[in-house]
Amino acid sequence: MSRTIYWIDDDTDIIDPVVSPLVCAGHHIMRLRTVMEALEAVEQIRQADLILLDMILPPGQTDRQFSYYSGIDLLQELREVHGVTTPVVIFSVVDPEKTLQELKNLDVVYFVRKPALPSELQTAVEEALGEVNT
Amino acid sequence: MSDLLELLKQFLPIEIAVIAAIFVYLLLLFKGIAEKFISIAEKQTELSETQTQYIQQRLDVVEKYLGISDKAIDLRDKHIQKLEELATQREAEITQSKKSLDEAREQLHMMKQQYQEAIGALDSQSQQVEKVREAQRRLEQASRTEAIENIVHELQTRLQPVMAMAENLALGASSLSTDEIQREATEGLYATLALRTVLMNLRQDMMEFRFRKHSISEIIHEAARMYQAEAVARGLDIRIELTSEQDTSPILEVSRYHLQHAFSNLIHNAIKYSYRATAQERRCVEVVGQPAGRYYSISISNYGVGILPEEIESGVIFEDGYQGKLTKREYRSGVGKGLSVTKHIIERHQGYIKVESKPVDNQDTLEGQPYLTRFVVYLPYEQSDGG
Repeated sequence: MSRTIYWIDDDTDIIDPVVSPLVCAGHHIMRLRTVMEALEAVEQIRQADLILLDMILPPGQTDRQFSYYSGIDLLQELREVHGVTTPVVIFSVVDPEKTLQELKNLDVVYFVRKPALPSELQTAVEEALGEVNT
Repeated sequence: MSDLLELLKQFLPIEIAVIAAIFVYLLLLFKGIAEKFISIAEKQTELSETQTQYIQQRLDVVEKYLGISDKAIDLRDKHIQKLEELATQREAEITQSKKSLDEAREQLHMMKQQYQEAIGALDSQSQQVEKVREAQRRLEQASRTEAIENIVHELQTRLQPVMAMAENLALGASSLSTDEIQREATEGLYATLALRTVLMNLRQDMMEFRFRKHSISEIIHEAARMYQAEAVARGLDIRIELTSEQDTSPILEVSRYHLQHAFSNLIHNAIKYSYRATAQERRCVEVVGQPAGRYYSISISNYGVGILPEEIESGVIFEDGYQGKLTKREYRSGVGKGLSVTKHIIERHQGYIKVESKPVDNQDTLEGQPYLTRFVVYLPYEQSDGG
């Protein structure tokens, strides 16, 4: 079954091959590169089946300041300000141990650390989507 | 008298003549007395007139003296008036001086208080200075840690496509040709190996610069290859042209891995902030080196996201953590560390770096207003005093 996945990462150009299996499986991958691009697409993200999120993102066109782990700032705003409940898979180079509690507080249960094999990412995404099914 | 009597007897009875003669005699007597009185009176009058004149003269003198006295009195009055005015003025001046003195005393009192406060502040400041130094030491340590984290981030990001392509190829899920895969994998592996080398050396001797003679061409070509794959992904060529006075690659006395790190930052920025190639126009990052007196200059130019004049003039673009205002709008990644580290490395080489960025009148872009940006690094051929 085809799903819509929002992939929020500023390096999608470079690491695009990692989502090839997901594309081959028929999923639609929508790419956003900055925190502000994601906040401007809140309604679309709310309707999506999954968010694939990097923890370090450039801010984008804004004077707002974000922390080093700007992906967490973004997720917090999506959850707490905009009420977005879309499941999230964190896909980042950052060691999850550094921000484990914060991620748990934001209902994140899936974490894939870069660099990962495409199959590893596909497995995590499909498990998360499977949770949406059930 | 008898003559007179005899005369009168001729005319008058003797009794009457005697009486008349007595009368005349008395008249004459009185006349004589009167004349004497008159004479005395005249003399008195003369005397009086003389006295009067004398008195008049005296009066004139007195009047004269009085006139002089009046004038003197006038002068004295005027003098007194002036003295009174002076006295009033002096009183006013004394009052003002007293006021100024009071103000001066008050200021002195305030200055004494401020001095006391300054003494107290100096004591606490010396404690603050020590705290700031300690914080700086921690910040430097954190910056080194963050620099390492950034490089690790870059390294792992570049490993990602290599791993992905490898598995996709193995599973037959890749849409790329064998040649494309080979090229991308080679570039990706080279970038990760180069980053790994930089990382290892930075960890070993983060602040220890070791100056040896190296070919600047090798350093720049290695720095460029680290980001070749990214350049290709954006449709960019990296053109490197280094000239020297001799027909050999220019040799400079440098700390190799530090300088490679600096140029990799500059070249990566140039790639990252370049606008993508269009169907009509290839775009490139140009690296040009040439002798410049006792320096060798290396310029890195690109066409794309620019830097605002005020950011260049103020030097804020080289501050740690600063991100250019135009880069934020163009959603380019970065945490603002690269240029400050680069500048530090160049200055550690006794060199300097200049930047210019000018808007270009060309609307044939997918992004916003294009700029032509050029960073120029000047490095001495040799280090003085061992670098």
